[in-house]
Amino acid sequence: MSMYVRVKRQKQIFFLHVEPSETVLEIKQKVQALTEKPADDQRLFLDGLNLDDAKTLAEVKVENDAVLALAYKIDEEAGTWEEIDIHTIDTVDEAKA
Amino acid sequence: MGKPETVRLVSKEGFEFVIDYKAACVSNTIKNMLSSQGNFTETELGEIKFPEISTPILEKVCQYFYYKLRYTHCPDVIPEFKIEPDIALQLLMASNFLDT
Repeated sequence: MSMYVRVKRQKQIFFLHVEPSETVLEIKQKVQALTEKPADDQRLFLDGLNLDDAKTLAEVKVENDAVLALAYKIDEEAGTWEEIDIHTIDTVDEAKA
Repeated sequence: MGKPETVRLVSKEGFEFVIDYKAACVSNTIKNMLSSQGNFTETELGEIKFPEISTPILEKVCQYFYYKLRYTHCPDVIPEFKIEPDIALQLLMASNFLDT
């Protein structure tokens, strides 16, 4: 059954068709196809939890319509990463739901 | 940067929603914009600005596109598409404009 996830970073939201059997790495590759940011320089979070590349979406319990936060690597040598930065309106919506 | 198979919808606040071309075509208005003859910036860049639609509304609209795609011709039980009452009116106006 096909589903989709919403990958958010700053002012961008990507709607991606995914399968529960796909791995987190495959999602990053889909993001790479759209942003040209290498999968290695991406991190995906579900509810603040950093997702493991090798796991499938079913294993990390990513469901249809889930919101994943995307963060990029800032500096290769220092190994620093961006903070999660997704728009707050959605947080408001979730609080109401 | 715009890939042909995706479309970028930009909300009033400047948020970009990157969705599949197929999903965007759930809206007849968007479909017409993208398939119209002539060199419109919309057609070339695959980017459409909606200065009158706010971010939460546009997000809901995009969610609906995917919901619609998934459950059209679906034999299973179709779950309800949840709409929060406080955005219902704005959403109605947006969907009317988008012919969705």
